[in-house]
Amino acid sequence: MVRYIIKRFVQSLLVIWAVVTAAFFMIKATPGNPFASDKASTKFVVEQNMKIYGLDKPLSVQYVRFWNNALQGEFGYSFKYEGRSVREIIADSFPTSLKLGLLALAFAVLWGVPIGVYAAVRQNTWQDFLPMGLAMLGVGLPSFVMGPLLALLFGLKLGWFNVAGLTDWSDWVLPSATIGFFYAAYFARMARGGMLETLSQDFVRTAKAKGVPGWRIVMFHALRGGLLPVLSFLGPALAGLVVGSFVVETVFLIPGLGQHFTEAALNKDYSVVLGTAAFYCTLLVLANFLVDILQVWLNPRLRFSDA
Amino acid sequence: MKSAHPNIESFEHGTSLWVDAWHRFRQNWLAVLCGIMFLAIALTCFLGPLVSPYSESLTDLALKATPPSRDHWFGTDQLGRDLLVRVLYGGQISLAVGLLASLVSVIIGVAYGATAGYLGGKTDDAMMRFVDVLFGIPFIIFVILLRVVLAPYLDSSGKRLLVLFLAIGVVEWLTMARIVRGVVLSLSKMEFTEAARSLGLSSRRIIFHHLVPNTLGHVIVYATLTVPAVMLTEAVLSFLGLGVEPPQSSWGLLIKEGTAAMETFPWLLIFPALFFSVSMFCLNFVGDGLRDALDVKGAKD
Repeated sequence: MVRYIIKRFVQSLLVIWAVVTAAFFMIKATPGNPFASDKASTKFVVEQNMKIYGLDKPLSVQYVRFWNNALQGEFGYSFKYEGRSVREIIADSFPTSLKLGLLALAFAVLWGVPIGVYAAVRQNTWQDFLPMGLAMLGVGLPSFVMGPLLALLFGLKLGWFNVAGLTDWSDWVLPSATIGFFYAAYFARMARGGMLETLSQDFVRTAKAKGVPGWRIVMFHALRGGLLPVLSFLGPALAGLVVGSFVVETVFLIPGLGQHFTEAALNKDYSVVLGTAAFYCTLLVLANFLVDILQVWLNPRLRFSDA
Repeated sequence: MKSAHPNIESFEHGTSLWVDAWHRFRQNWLAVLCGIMFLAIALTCFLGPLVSPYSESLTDLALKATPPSRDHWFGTDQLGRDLLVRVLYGGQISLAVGLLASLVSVIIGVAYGATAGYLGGKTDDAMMRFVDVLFGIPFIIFVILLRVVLAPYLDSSGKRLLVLFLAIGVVEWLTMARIVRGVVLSLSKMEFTEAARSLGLSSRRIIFHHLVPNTLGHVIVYATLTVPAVMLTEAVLSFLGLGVEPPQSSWGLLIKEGTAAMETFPWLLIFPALFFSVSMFCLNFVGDGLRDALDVKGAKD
């Protein structure tokens, strides 16, 4: 187990290094001068800017300096917002995105998993099809469809919620439901599949034969094994939450990191794009590492095979 | 003779895997309905504009945005363009990106997975470890980066679309590779592979002529599930302004435009969203139905 953790950790670090390096060189390979786009800027100003941002140095020097700074949590200064460092931007806006992501995840799990488990217990009855159909509606309603529709219905028509900004606790409801509903469909599908498989196993039949009540079998015998597929979906879901946050922050005008990233990509604010991309990659690779560890820890079959 | 024993005749033929699967698929009325609905949407998108009295770019500034009426079934947008035709044209792009990018991902995924599964051993270990590593990477960020980096070269809408196909196709092959590798790994231990090897056939011939055709069931199922995944990526990118750009349109782009105007002209949001959602829903259900019918395990993402 310890060996596995160390191995996976080193692997994660390598991945982070490779991915961030790839992002660095991709950005550097972009043709054209990032400051030349402003018509007003003279040649002198452009050169001056290049010097300030350290872009006049050879690529190898820039690369070493980038890592040197990155390891201290610095990613340089924004090209477009004068005087704003990428670190400040991340520090200001990431907590909002994180809170949004966690609320959305909570929504997806609390809505999707119980439906999936319940549907599995009542397999092939209307009590299976109806709730699953309801949950699976989410498959056709990704964040950029769900968000505007929710805003239109509950915000503009019914007037229950604000459609933009974050001033009240209720302002979190629509954005997190928007992302959560889509992933709830997948969680429900995974939970149903996993539970069906576990419930058909011999130890469940043994428990039944010994007269254990049905709800006890579900809660104490089958749930742990049945929810393993849900856990394995957590990794892809985390990456999806990030994408969802890009969309939802645009729709509901939430000042989160996702909005900064997409805006920077549209405005060619390279230092912000690179810094946020590196930050996201590190975050997701580490999150995936934790999910993997959790999975092995909860699943004895993996724990004892030298995975 | 022949007419006297019709049953024996049919016995001899047996039922192939495909006929069997078709019978099972037909039992699943929801999947069949979804399949028909999706085909209807696709056909309408490609044929509808041909019979429509309006063209996509025909503007009528005097008309401006009007709600659905008898002349314009889905209403018109702020420039007086007929929304129905725009939704159908947008659908052509969305579906084309979905199908072509899926094709790219299928080709890469099958070739990679089959090679890893057949060669086995250390090569397989290394190749699959590489896939594991790629799985942990937030790809949408790279697709966006790619768009930023290539922006200066993307001066025509054709080039932009091409990059979109490739970028999405290149990132969507991982699950396909895993599935095909698993199937090939078990097939390569069977006698017919042994026989092919003892005949002295090259690895490449064994992989592509003997093994890959046997993975077809898995490939079809997963390809059906890849199409909506790809369409989703395209729509997200277009919605964020990093995918299809005007004057071209796609469902994602129309939803973006509709969102901006939903307060005053809600139909501009509702119709494209409806087309997109129904297509996504249908493709997912057809994929699930095919998986059950072909009894493909492990094709779950």
